[in-house]
This record gives sequence, structure tokens and C-alpha cells, in this order.
Amino acid sequence: MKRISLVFILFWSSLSLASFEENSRRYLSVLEVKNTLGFYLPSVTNCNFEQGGGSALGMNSPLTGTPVSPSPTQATINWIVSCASSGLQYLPSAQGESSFYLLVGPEAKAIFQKEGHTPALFRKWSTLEKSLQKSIIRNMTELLLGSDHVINDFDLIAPDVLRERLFQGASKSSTVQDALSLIFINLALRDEFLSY
Amino acid sequence: MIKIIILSAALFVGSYALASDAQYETQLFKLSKSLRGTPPSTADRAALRKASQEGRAESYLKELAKSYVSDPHFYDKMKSLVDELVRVKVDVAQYDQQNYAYDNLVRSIISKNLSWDQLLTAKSYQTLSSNDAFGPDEPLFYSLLDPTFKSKDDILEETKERVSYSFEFPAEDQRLAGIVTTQRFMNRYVTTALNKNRRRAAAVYRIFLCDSMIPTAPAADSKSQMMDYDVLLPHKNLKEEDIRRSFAGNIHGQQADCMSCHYKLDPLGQVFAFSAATLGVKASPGALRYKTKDLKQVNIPLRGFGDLGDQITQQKEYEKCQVSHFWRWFIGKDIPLTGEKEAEVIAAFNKVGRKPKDFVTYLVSRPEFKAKPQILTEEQVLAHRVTTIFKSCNSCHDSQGAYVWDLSALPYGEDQKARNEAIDTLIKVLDINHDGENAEMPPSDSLWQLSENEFATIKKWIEAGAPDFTGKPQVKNGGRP
Repeated sequence: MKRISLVFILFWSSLSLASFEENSRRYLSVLEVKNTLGFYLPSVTNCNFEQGGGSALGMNSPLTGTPVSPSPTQATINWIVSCASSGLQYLPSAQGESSFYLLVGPEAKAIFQKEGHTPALFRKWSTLEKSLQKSIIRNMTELLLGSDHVINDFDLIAPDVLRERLFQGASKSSTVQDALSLIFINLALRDEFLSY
Repeated sequence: MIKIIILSAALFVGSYALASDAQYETQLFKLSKSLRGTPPSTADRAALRKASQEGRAESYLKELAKSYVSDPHFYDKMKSLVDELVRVKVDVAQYDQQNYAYDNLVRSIISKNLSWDQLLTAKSYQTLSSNDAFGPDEPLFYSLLDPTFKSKDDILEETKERVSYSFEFPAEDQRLAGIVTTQRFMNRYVTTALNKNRRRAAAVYRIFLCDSMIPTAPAADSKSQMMDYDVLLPHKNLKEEDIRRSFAGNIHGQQADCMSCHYKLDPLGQVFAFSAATLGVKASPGALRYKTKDLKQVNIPLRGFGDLGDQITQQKEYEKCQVSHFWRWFIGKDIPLTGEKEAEVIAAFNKVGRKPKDFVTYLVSRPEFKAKPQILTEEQVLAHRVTTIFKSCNSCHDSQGAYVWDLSALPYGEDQKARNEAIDTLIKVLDINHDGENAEMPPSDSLWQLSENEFATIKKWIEAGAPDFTGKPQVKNGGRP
């Protein structure tokens, strides 16, 4: 998890550009972020936001009608990481199988299906062919953020640069599950994911 | 030569198709996230690709928007937007798990695509009795209005069971007005003997007429503050004579400045007079009073809540206000809605019978929604920041005799001369050149004062040439000669 924290801070810079109030983009509400994470990881559990997390994510304060914070805060990061991690930890279980194949994409699925999804998750990431690693990263990027055209329309980062950073970051992961978690959380913290 | 032309044309068509596809896919993501709060499904993405290849992406997205506004996630989204507008705690329960009349009414307006006016004019409520023997029992709130009402205890011996109630009142009933006459609204805007329902009236003005009133009245002196305290906790040594003297003095609500809001709040607050823990059996008369932007005085007597809902929903300011809510929610407040564009959108709101699903479908079909998102420039951000601050100024200067101009509408005036004069006036009354040392506005005895940050923002904006929402400066040299 420490490694994840270090790497996602590198990607956080795109999010800090935006503010809840002043950017022409609009942000998903806290409930919608939860729904969106659940869209990919149906087993998300640790996503309680009623104790203040809602305001940190941009939900308006009932008192003033405006968000408590004008921009995403550390609490936002913590909440998303915690919520996503709760779903990612279920990947090795039977209920995580469909999520796993959805995340890795058809090319990796064809390979991993032979050994079963749980052993595949505990494989060393470094044992995967580089082309397979890149295929997984490409699939997850497209799945969570959209195609290169969508990423380009946001104009925050070139899709190739984003994938290269993810590739470099994931190379330090020990297992496939670690790598998937790192990639997923990095993508889930991006403006392209959280806003529209 | 012909080959070159054909090749160029092919390349042009190819690049055009690529650009369109990108635009459509971005639109699809925006549409899905904006209306449902989730990304589009892989099936929707594949269907869009197919539609693009067949040259019918536009019509596909249009149809998809119609289906998205019938998605339960859209109901959740709209419900949370209304909750934020009303400033009640956003309810995160699923759309079919509501128990309170307010929640059921809002959800029913959205899911059944009823007129948005129903927020103020509905006379039907569905609610459940409490499962807590000591908790608030909402059906009792309507009990006095329904002669056939039977309490939960009369229906069931086992009080832990919840009983569903459905209240239907005639359309002409003066005792009810949509979400305003729900327990959730009343509990959110509690009243006191001193407040006399003005807080509730202020909420109605803010939500339905976009008239946000800010307490700018002179601060009470120590004696009247003491008086407020003593009314709540009477001091044993306080004599009636002292109370009378204190009331006759500097009490908020009796001075000329205070009347800039109180002339509106007091008569509307009277409509709530007979409502306490339960709604009153009789309607309480009051009045709807305010000044329009063109300074016309509106003064409509109200027989009760029924007239309140009917009259407010007929006001031009109501149309404008509700359209501005939807615009902010689905297009964004950074994209100005003024002039002809505003008239066009208001006409569309009325054309679709003010039905939320239809109106949202219309909004997301507009070019402003389809446009590629842009990061605002620093100048644009400043313009948005200062106009937010100036809205507080408008709360006094918008009414009574203190009107200057709409400080939140940029640019100021039709021509350069008017803009120069406006900025000069701001520099003078805020004493921008001396960091506000001798500022005339806001008045020194006003409860509302500019914070250091707010002053710095206004100063920075003026120094940047007082840019409008497009980032274009209104004056040269930061307003300096």
C-alpha cells in the first residue's frame, strides 16, 4: 500500500488542477463515485462517506449550500483508495472473477483462463510478457477513462504518457494483484475518471 | 491530379470521421456520468461505435439520453441535487426506500416526469409512520387536515409496525404547498418566537425565486442582544419597562435597512403562522412581495400555502430561477445563461410542460453540453469569484431604494463609458487604493463584511482590468487613469 501511495501522488497533479467550483468540468458526487467504483468492482464495501467524506468529495454542506472544500482534499484520496481497495481485495475470491477478467481484458483473459483467475492474481507481475502487461494497462485505461480520444479531450495528459507512467509504476509490483490495484487506484484518482 | 484530389478528400473524410468519433465518445461519457453518475456500459460504447460507422451517432446519443433520464440513478442524482438546493442532508438511500413525504414527493416528480411546479403546488403526500415509539411521526403532521385520520396506535396494537399513509387533498386546498408543507422542510427551517417563520420564507425566496437574502442589517447593540437572550431565558431582575424600552430601540427588523429584506420576509412568513408540530387546520393569509430586476414592485395577497405555490410558479422570476438551477446542474455555472439564450431555454422549459426529464433531455442536446470541456483562465476564475461575492451586495442593492446595478452580471453596461464609471465607483466605495481603509461599502455597521480574502480577490480582479466571464477586461490599466 505504501508503494501505491507513493506512485499515485505522482499522478495526483492532474487532479489538483481542478477545483470543485471553478472548473468547467463537473465532478461526480460522492455517491456516484461509489457507484462508479462498484461498476467495476461490485464487492466494494468500505465506502462509507457519511462521516464527513461527502463534503470532502464535493458534496454541498446542508448549512451553506456549497462544498466545504473548494477542491479535492487528502480526505478525497483516502476515501477513494479505501473504497477501491475494499473491492480490489475481493479479486482473488470467486465473486471477483468477473471483475478480474473485465479489468485485464480479452487478450489476458485468454491466457489467464487456462490457469484460473486466483493463481493468475498471485503470479509475479514481472513474469508476464511486457506486451501482456501493456495490454492489461491499455485495457484498464480504456475501461476506466475511455478511449484515447476521450483522454485527449480532457487535455490533461497524453494517453501514451499516462500508460507509460502506469507501466513504470506497476513494474515495481510483486504480484499481478498488486499491479492491478496500483493501476486501478491511479486511474480512479484522475480527473478523467472523477469528472466529466 | 485527380488522384491527389481523391487522396486528399479521403484523408479529409478520414480525419473528420476520427474527430467526430472522438467527440461522440467524449459526449457519451459525459452524458452517462452527467445523467447517471456512472460511465457508459461497454454495450453502450460498442453501440455508439456501430452507430458512428453507420452515420447515426447523433440520433443514437439522443435516444440514449432519453433512456438515461429513466434510469434509477438519474432519479438519485436529481434527488440529491434537489436536496442540496433545499439544503437538507442529501439522502443516499435508494430511490424506492424513502419514508418521508418530502423524499417521496421529490422522487415522484422526477420519476413520473411531473411538472417541476409540483415542488410547490403538489397536494398529495405519501409517508410512513415512525418505527420508533418516541421518534417523529410524520403522518401526525398532516393529521389535523384529514378528518378521517387514524393514528398508528389506532390502527395497530403493535406500535413497532410501520403504517403507510397516503394523503390526497383537493387542488384548491390553501393549507398545502408541495415540499414546503412537509415535515422535513419545516424541521430544516425551524422557527422561533423571534424569527416568526422568516427563515422559512427566506428559504422559499432562495429556492424558488433565486433571491438569496444575506443578513446585512446593523448588528444589534449589547442591550438588544441581551434582550434576545432574556426572551429565551428571562432574567429575574428584568422589568417590563426595560423590555419595552429595548424593543422600541435598535431591534433588527425595524430599521430602514432591515426592511430591504423584511418587507419580503414578514408577509410571506405569515403564511406559515398556523404551522407548528402539525400543519394548521386553517390557512394563514400573507403576501408575496418583492421587486423585480426592472424594479417593478410585486405585491400579491395570498390566502395561504395554496396561493403561495400557485402565484410563485406564475412569476417570470420563478421560471428564470428554476431554469438557472437546471442550467447549473447540467451545463455549468461557468457558462453564462443570459439574453436571448436564456429566453430560448426558458421557452423550452415551458414548452416541455416544465417536466424535468424532458427538460434535462433538451439541455443535454444543446451545444453547450456537447462542447469539449475547457479549463477556465485565471481571469475567468476571478470573474466568477467576484460575482459570487457581489451577490451578497445585491441582496441589499437589488431592492428598496438602494439599487445600483446588478453587480453579479458582467460586463457592466452597454458601452465603455458605463463600464469605466462602474469600476470607478467600485474602486471608490471599496477604497481599493487604500486597502479598504475608508471603504463606504459594506456599511461599517453591517453584519456582513468583506473578508480579507474577498477584498483581495476584488482588488486582484480590478487590477486585472475587471475581466468578464469570457476573461476579456472591461477597463484598461486596472481601472487606473
